[in-house]
Amino acid sequence: MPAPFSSFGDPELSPLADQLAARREQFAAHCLKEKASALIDGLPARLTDTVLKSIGANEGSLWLAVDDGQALLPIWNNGPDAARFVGSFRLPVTQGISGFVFTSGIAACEAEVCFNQRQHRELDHQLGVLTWAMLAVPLFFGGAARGVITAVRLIRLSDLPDLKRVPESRDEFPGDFIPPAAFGLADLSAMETTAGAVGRLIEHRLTAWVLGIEE
Amino acid sequence: MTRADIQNLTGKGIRIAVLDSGIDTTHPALDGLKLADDIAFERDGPFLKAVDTSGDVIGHGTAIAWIIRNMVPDAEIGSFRVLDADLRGRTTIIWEAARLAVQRGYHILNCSFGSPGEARFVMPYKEWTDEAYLRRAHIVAACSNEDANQREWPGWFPTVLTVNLADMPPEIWSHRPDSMVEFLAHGLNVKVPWQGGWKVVTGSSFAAPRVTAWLARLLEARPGMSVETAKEMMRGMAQA
Repeated sequence: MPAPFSSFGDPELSPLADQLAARREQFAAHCLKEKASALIDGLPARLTDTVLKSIGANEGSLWLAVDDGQALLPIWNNGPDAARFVGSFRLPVTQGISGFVFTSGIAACEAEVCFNQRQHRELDHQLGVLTWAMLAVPLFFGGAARGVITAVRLIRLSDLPDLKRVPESRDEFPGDFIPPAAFGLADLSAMETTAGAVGRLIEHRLTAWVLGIEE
Repeated sequence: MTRADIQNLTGKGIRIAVLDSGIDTTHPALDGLKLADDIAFERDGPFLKAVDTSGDVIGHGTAIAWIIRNMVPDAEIGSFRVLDADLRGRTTIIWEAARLAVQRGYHILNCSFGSPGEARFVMPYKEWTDEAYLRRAHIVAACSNEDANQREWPGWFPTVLTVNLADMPPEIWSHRPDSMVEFLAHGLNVKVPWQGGWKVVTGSSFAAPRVTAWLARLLEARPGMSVETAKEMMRGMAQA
């Protein structure tokens, strides 16, 4: 947002803006190799966690692009199984809802995900869950799409002990089973706002690193 | 002219370019659809070239085409694939696709996407939105779901009909004055064809093609209408 008054860019600092952006880019690339989670540890992760809880998500993840933008790596998750895939599972950007959101820059809000899920059914199976509703929003910083933040509402397979396979319609649920509600417009909006704020926080962190000042 | 005057029109004679991820015409939901163009873009050294292709690399474009076809089954649809894994060339690919669509005589360009509204992207987007305006090609774009006050391209150019989603009946659209995102349409929990199956999705992406289809009906009734006139009539015919 521009300043709400007429002003001139600082004659000493303005010419350095491009140089600063280039340095941030270098630091971001280096951090992704050395310790990707350092980009979001602390305030960005706490903000994401707070919003995920406020929208009634069972859990959520923050994914960053790696391998020259060809894969997404989960670098943070606030669910009980985080250790099983954070930092190790790699999602090609051509696959899944998260891949679509990253490559298109378009947020996704989907319901009844497990009925249509084509990728990573096995991951859900390993984790003992069915993904029921999902929000995925692009994460931008440094002037480009850098990752995705996701939120899910899950069905625990332990709640459906008689289910023999991944269901393809509601008919396969027991008659008295009520799945979680879908995410709504307000949830989608909250997640996009969060992604915007997290992107800004990461940019601020990179600026602090480049300038050698405490964040 | 009122909305009732055009609601039964089918888009006959109107050509709609879907700038998206491609269109999967093998999906049963699109049975019988013959695309007027099915184009992707490849790098050729420092240049970009259009190549014939088929299919949908993501699924999104198929959903968009299905919404349009349901509403205006006689409109011609062309697919221009601009959303794929090539992020670094995205702005250039969109530019090339839009120019090609305009040159090939499409009346409407459906852009169910928005690029971050940064200053450095203004000129690449302005070039082709201006070319479309001068040739009376109409652009319908989606906007950020988060906040219709967040600047995006091409949605924030005044020659574009920009659409946000709303929880409203699918048969209508509405007008929101005093906003660069002037139109609202149904985009909540829409069941759409996607990669061979179906999905229930929410987003302004799925609202924009509804306005595209209504615009196609309007252009069928009044061919050759200017961009300003069409936009004004879409404002006037919108649900109060």
